[in-house]
Amino acid sequence: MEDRRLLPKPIPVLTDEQWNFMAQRLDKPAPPEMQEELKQAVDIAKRIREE
Amino acid sequence: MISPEDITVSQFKSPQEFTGFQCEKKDYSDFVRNPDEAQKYQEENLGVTHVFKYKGYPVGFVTLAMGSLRKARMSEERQQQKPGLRDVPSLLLGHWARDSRWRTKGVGKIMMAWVLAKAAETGKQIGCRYIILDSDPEMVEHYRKWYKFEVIPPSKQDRKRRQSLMFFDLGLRGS
Repeated sequence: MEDRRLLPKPIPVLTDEQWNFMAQRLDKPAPPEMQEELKQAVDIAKRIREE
Repeated sequence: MISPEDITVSQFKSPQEFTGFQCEKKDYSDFVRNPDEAQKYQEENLGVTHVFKYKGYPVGFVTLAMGSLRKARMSEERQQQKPGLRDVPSLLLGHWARDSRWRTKGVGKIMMAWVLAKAAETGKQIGCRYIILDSDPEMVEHYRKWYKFEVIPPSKQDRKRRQSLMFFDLGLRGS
């Protein structure tokens, strides 16, 4: 493979500790502040024009 | 402040769109100006760059790609002993930059809102639980404060490469 500066870089693999931190959240809802942020984001995004 | 109604978003077409684009990190403006980077990346369908324009002028861009959170490799033997989930589908927010002259005008908030909404919409069709970004240390607080991203506890490797993996949890379906 040629050497390229192309980014974005792939997501690094997770250690066991990191994996457990992320996996334990999977059966739970997102934190309330993220849910609220997403709700606001969807409202904002509806106002952006896509070309 | 810019209103979302004043912003249009379209897919990256050519480096010429970014003549005059300025941002704090030269690598990022190089990424869209250099034909061997964003353009080639997009041609190969390895990442799509979305350009945010105000009155036709590019004020920022984001590059998105499919990705996944993966657990470090285990031996075949250990995998058989410990089967289970080893991969969580996620959206990679690869590049993210706005023109430095548009700082504090709310451009970043609009761009991130679009990314979050796009990820949520995509996640309804194709499994996608997290949005992942690999942040420079000086930007961690910004992403946390303004966009509610959280840090994945850093590994030794993360500390060595001086980057912080961050995530936004898109949550359960229907929640």
